Amino acid sequence: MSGDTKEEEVQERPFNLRLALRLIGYLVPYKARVAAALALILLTAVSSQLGPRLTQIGVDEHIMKGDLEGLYGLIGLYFASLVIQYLAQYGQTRVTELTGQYVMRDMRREVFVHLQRLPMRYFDRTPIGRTMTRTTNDVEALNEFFTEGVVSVFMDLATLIAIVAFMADMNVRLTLISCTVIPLLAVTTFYLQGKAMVAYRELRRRLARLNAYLQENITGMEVVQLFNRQQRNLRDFDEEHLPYRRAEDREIFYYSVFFPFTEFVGTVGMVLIVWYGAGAVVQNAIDVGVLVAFLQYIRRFFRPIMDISDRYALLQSAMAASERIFELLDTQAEPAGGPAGQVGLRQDGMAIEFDRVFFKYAPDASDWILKDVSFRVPAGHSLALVGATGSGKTTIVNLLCRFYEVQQGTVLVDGLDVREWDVDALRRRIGIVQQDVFLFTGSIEGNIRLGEERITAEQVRTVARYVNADHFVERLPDGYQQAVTEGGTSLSGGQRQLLSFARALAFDPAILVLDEATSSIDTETEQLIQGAIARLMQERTSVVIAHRLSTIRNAEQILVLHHGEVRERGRHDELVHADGIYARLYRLHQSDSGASA
Amino acid sequence: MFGPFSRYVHPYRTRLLLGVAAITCAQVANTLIPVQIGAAVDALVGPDDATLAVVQGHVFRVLGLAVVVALGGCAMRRLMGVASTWIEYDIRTAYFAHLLAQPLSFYQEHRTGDLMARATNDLSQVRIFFTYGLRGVAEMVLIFVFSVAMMCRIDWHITLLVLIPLPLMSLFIVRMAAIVHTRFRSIQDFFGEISNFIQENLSGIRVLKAYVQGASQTRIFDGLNQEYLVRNADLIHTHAIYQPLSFLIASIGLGINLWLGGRAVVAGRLTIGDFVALNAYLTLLIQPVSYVGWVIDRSQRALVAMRRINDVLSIEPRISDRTLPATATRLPAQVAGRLQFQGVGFAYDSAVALEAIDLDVPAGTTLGIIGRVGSGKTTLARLIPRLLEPTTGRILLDGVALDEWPLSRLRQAIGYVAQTPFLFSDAMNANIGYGVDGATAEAVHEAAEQAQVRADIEDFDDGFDTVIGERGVTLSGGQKQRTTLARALLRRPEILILDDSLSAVDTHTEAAILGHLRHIMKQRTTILIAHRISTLRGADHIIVLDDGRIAEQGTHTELVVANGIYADLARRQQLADELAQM
Repeated sequence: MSGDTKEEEVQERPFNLRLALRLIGYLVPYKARVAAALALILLTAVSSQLGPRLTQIGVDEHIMKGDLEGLYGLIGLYFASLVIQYLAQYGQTRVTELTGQYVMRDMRREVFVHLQRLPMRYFDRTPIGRTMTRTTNDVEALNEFFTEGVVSVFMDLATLIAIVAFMADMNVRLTLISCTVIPLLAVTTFYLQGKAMVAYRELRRRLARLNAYLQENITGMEVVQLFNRQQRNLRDFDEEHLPYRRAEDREIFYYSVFFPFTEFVGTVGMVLIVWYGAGAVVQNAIDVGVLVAFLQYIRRFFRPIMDISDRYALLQSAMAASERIFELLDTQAEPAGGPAGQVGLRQDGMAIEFDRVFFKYAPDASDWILKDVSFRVPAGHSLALVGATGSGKTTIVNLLCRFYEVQQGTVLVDGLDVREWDVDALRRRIGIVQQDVFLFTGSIEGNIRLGEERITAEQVRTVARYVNADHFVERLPDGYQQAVTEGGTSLSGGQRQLLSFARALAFDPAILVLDEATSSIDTETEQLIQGAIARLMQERTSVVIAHRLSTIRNAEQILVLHHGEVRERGRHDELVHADGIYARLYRLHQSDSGASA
Repeated sequence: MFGPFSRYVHPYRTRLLLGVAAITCAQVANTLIPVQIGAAVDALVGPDDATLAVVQGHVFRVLGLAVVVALGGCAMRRLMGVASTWIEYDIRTAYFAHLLAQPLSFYQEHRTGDLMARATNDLSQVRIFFTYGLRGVAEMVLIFVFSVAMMCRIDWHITLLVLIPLPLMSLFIVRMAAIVHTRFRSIQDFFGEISNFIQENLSGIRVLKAYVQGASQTRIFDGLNQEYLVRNADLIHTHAIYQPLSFLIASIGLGINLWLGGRAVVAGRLTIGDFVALNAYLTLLIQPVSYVGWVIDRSQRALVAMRRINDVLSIEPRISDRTLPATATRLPAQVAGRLQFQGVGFAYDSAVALEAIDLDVPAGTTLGIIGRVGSGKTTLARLIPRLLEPTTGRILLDGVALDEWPLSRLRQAIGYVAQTPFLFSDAMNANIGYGVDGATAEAVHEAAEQAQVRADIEDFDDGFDTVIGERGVTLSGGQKQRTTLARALLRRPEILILDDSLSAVDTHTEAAILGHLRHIMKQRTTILIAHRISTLRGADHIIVLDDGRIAEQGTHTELVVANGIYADLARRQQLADELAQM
């Protein structure tokens, strides 16, 4: 039982042939294994039902006739059949379950690879937890479909057939009598299991709600206590809790009737056999060993029937899980773009141009995030973006990297529309130093080169030295191999910033984007960072989003954004003289740094 | 006998004992059936003429016994099953009630995930044990004892030899179960690793896309994915050896019986009916033997789980009415709202959050608090409703120390609006009416009006019946803050505490809210924590907190004249405001 209380997603779906076929498609690469599994199943089914038949022969042909020699031979055969049966079952379990694992692996990989290609828009609107569930729990839920569902039904049917065949081989009349219990067993099993399943679903639903309520109370405990709601909430909890217990009770009720009843049917079957068999034995129509064998077989009907009835529930949850996985797999990946930039790297910087760009994140939103934005940054030059939070600065970077598509206008890199660029090639030319430096679990070195193998350890050290990150890294106990935890909490804000500069430089981009950090950094690090920025910007086309204006002063072009529009543009001195938004921002900044000093 | 479970088992001991009695009857009957069948077979082979009549007698006896088995099994499942649902119910209720009594400090020490894990995973282990495990133990022991006893009566030599593989095999099964368990754990742990990797990949997707690391991430993922497969294959290997064992054990027993029993029948030492009965007993024994491992495993897990739940249940709530003096202090009939801080200090472990706070807030006045992040503002606010207790000094309400007020009475007098608004996934009117039993729709609307959120709510499709949260409407930050304010105002508190709770509300709306508050709170005390000078301007007294101490205090005008931290803040905010208005 998983602790998944937040997601109250549909856990069951009726059987759907299209989904089932698509799922079975995953077995195609393993058809040899599947065939082997089926063969082993047949062998298992037959060999496991051989025992009672051998007993019958033992009793009738040897024991009753006092033939000990023959009996020993038969016992040898019996043990041989046990060995075969054990090996077959071992092989079958192994092959089946491994095949299930292979399929899971393939499916997880397919989901993961697809995730890497999904557009940012998908990640904006899908909570991480939900996507996680697709790759992990949902795939895991399908495992049962392959290992238990498909294969076991076959196994159960084969077992039933084997039992009936062995019976019929001994005596047809008694077989027919024995088989009368099958419909009785089947009907009660499907009926009671069905009832229990309904109760079980209600129980699950209520439990999910109970746990959600509990979780909410734990998170909001301060409010609960401040408003003196303890007694009342305990009562509210009970209103869900008591029905939950009742549903549980109901489930137990069905099972408490079900198991004793099936056992009773089994015994009735035995009685029928003894009753009819007795008459036949007395009339010498059958031997006593046949009776003994039938008594054993009739008890063996029950398990496969119950299993088959169980599979249906399994199938339903597999349907729900696969529907969710396929929905993700069918989500359109981001466009791969045109052929531009796939071959040949240009050495010098590349020009950037925005031509009357209009953009909004939600197509149905009424306000544009960017309105008629145009600018041009010649190769090797620098552009600074200034404006309040929400003015559209980061959006410009997002469009430059083609994380989103513009609704109107064009974004050009190196004179080519970004839509003509191969997306990967385009992004390879751009290095972003982000405001929130995201560090991955791993080493310092691993965080600088990310997964790029062409960046050598030597290059990592060179770039770290270049951006002044080497000092602090070398002071760490394990240097470049020092472990970094998720989110990089063990490093200071300044240190993380330096690492992100090193990362950008290691990839040697033609275009550099600096989404500068706002967090307060001590003066020593501040100087290191300023030095690093100056070096990075040399000989590259650069776009700087700045909250601290010191970086901007030297920019060749400053763009002041306000509510998605370009309100002022020019160089620092010109804008200060113009006495507009920039001038005020500048004064605010002056007073800021005055206060913190 | 049930160790950590005893408290919860005790109330249902009668039911459980009756259940044991029922299953004992059922199993006695069950183990008598093979003897009857054996006797019937003997009668058939025997020379007696009255064969059919004798067989008939045995058949009826078997039917009778089967009825007892069925009824006993049914009764046992009912009795024990119902008891188990009540036991689970009692534990969950006790757990929730206990959590409700725990103070804020408890929640700072225990993560929600951990507390939830105890209520879900651990409780489910306990539940599984009581619903299936306990019954399994009883059934297992009874079948084993009775069957073996009956078999010995038939032929103890053969019985002993036939049973030889059993203990060996069950030892083997227990051992395999242990291996399966460790391998399963190793898979679970690795599953966690894969989850973490994916989680990080998704969190950092923007960086990864920007640096075109899809392929390298896939490479790492492939490695993890393959390792996961390998670990699963290890488990499958063990599982495949282990799974068919129980069937094998039983079959070996049957084989030995065929050999020794057959020889005894031939030698005339055993009737064919006895041989058949022995066979039937061996079949009966399959289940209990193969369940040994499962039952042991389940009971151990349940034991660990119950201990984990009891660990939480044994923590005494640190803030409660236990501190009330034996002879009740004479409390004023009506709370006026005067607050006095006398040398109040607070420390989280060793980190000092507040130091030497002396304050007198007369009833009906407004105290403004401003200060940097981490300066102790929220800690100070939390001391008033006793969410936290001061480490030094004391706080008085209307001249009576806070811990001499009954907790519920104290909190009844306070309307506290926290920094991060917390609302429940429930209807808007239920959220606003949260603290007042049977609040009228009118009162709710009025409170919403005062908090300037009424128009917003009425715009929703279902108005005040609109459900919010995961399965309903998502509110903006400002709407959430105004809703929590309405919730506090509905209680007509004598003391209103706003902990920076208008930060996401635009200045215009904020002014309107403050205007209303001034009117409503004329006779009451208000504690107003804010970052914006504009919010505090009208307060009767303002304190500036810095590093847990009062750095400056006075009225707005006094503080501006003093030209300190406050004045500096005021200047900068003015500039920022001008900019925002452009």
